[in-house]
Amino acid sequence: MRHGTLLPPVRPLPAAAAELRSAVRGFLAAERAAGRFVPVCDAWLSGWDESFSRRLAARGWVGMTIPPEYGGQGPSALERYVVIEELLAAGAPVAAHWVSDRQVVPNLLRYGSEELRRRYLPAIAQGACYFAIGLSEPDAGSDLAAVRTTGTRVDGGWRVSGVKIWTSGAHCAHALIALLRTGPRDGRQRHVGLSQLLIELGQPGVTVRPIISMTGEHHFNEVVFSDVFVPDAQVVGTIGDGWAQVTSELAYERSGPERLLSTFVLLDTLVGELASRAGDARTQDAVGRVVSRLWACRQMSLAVAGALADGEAPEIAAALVKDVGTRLESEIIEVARMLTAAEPDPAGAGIAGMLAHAVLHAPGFTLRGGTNEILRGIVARGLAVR
Amino acid sequence: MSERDLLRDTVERLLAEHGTAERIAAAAQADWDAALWRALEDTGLTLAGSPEELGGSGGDLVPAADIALAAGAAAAPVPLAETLAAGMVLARAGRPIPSGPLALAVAAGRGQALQRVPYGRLATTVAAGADGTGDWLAVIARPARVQPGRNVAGEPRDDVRPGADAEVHPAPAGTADHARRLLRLFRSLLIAGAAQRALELTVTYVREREQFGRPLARFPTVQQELARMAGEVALVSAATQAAVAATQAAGAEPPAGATMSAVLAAKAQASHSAGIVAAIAHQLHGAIGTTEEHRLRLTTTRLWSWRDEDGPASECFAELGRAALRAGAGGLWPWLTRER
Repeated sequence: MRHGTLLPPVRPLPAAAAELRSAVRGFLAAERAAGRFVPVCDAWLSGWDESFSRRLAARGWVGMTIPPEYGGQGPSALERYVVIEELLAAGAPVAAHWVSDRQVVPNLLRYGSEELRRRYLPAIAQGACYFAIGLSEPDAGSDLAAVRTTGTRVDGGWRVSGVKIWTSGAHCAHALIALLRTGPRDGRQRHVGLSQLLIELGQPGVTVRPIISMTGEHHFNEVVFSDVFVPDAQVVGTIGDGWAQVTSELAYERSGPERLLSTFVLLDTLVGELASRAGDARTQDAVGRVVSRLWACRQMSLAVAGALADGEAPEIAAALVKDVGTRLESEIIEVARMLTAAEPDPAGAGIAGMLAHAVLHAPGFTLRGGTNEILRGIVARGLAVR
Repeated sequence: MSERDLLRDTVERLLAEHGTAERIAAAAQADWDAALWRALEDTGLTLAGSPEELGGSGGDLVPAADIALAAGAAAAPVPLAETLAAGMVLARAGRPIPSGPLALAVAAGRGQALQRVPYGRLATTVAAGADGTGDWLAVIARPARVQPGRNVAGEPRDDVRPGADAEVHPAPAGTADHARRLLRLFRSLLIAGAAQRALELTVTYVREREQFGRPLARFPTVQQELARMAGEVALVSAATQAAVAATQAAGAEPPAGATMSAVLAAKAQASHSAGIVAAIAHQLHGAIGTTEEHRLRLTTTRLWSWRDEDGPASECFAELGRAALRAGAGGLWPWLTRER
């Protein structure tokens, strides 16, 4: 195992990145100055703002990897990385278009039919088409292959019945990208017979029920399908290849900047509040610890992003980014607590309010996108121990 | 095979040929492995990254960094990374590079004793300093007067007192800062190599060792710890790679006043992760890993030494923390995303 085997080589960002970064910063500063958003932790889950998504799209910063023939800017995965890390670091409300931009665009570009691409990609690039993810089910959490939502073959399409859960934003989204069972298991081969379908949400037979988080917020839903007809045209890729299609996308989902920056605005606020204590050794030490780890995590995430942009599939490294990055997101909360002695206050301003929000969101950091325990299992398999 | 891969293969093979556990243990008694050193010097590996006209073997920081990484992985009992770093500091100042092993140190002042210099007893020590008159370099030819000492890996760490005959040369502005940066960077690279080796040794062990009728690797708890270890190894790898790239991009003349946060962050991360990596390696090896006979200790004792050398984590955390607090609200992110 040569050094670097675990992690793809760290590659420099494209030359255009610096100019792009400064343009995004200018846009965000103007948005904040105009009072159009207030930075919050975990805004990629909790900041649903459709007009923000459209303003962002008007600048070409939604669906950036969509080629011009489908209404986008052309492939520029690393430039997209720069834009989304700027948005996340600013705590900007990106939740509405998040799944469309991160998940659906690469999925359709890789597997989608011409018809599906033409139907969805231009609208996504305009910041006007929002998706939810339909993976988890009540009895299929970490064990994703246990999904039981079923598509039954009917004339011209599939009749779908079943329940999806933890579907962030399904109550506002236009459609859901679902993994479901379209064929029987082949003995012990649990991964066969699964397929990916795009299901429009505003149609008869689809019921979206809210799941209220302990924050009192409504982000998650349970989505029930009762004999919903989904035409063949809504099938992504090949019937029966759903498992391979879903797992090939996971490196995107696990290694992005959203796996380390969910609490960045808290850290930013913290260093502001502690400015007068810049000479205090304990403060320096605690801030230095999280800052060095954040810096290193970002380099890891960039290394994976570079490999993805070059067409590689660094599954192990992506899992590692999520494991170390999401644990850091929670560590930032601990540092903020220890250094400020602020009591988390849901109605409070500044650190107190941010802490209240972050503390209640934190358990989700190491659960969503595959629990860290499952991810560490993937890493162990990658090290050839299983 | 690329030129870079060729170099890495050459250095790894050479270190492996000489790197039996017996040889490394014997070197601790004899201060170092002179035969390995000769082999490295003959191949031109000890002065990569320094120009040929000054006595180096050419190339830039990237091959030198690759060699240091390999030296860390091999627990090589020679001042290889130290010589590479010292050569680069001399070259930046346009000074000829003496033959033989070198050590690099940052001096508190002219004529001041240098503490715990790696291989000080047998190396030519290059001391960098800065004072009211500007930056300077002292070249303290061996044998200097030394107070011998060792680190917990048994590597020589000697207090060196410059003699009256030590040459002191004026050096370009920023020489002392550059020396401090390279010390941190090369120490981080050694740690990165050793951390990777600790992971390899542990993977091999848990696959071979059986308990309760199956390899340790089959136990989910063991897998979880192994993955946690891999996460730390990957963090150090990413951080050191990025620090090498940033140093390379900055060239010999980083912008005035730049703290080179990349190098600082890399050393902080390497120092912090070193302890976690060593602890998990030992936990998964069980009691056998704590013996003198077992090879693991050659790597872990170095991790425990190196993390506190050339900028201990506490110092790096404090410096980074200060810089982050100075950057302040709204300034932290731009500071973190600077290219260097």
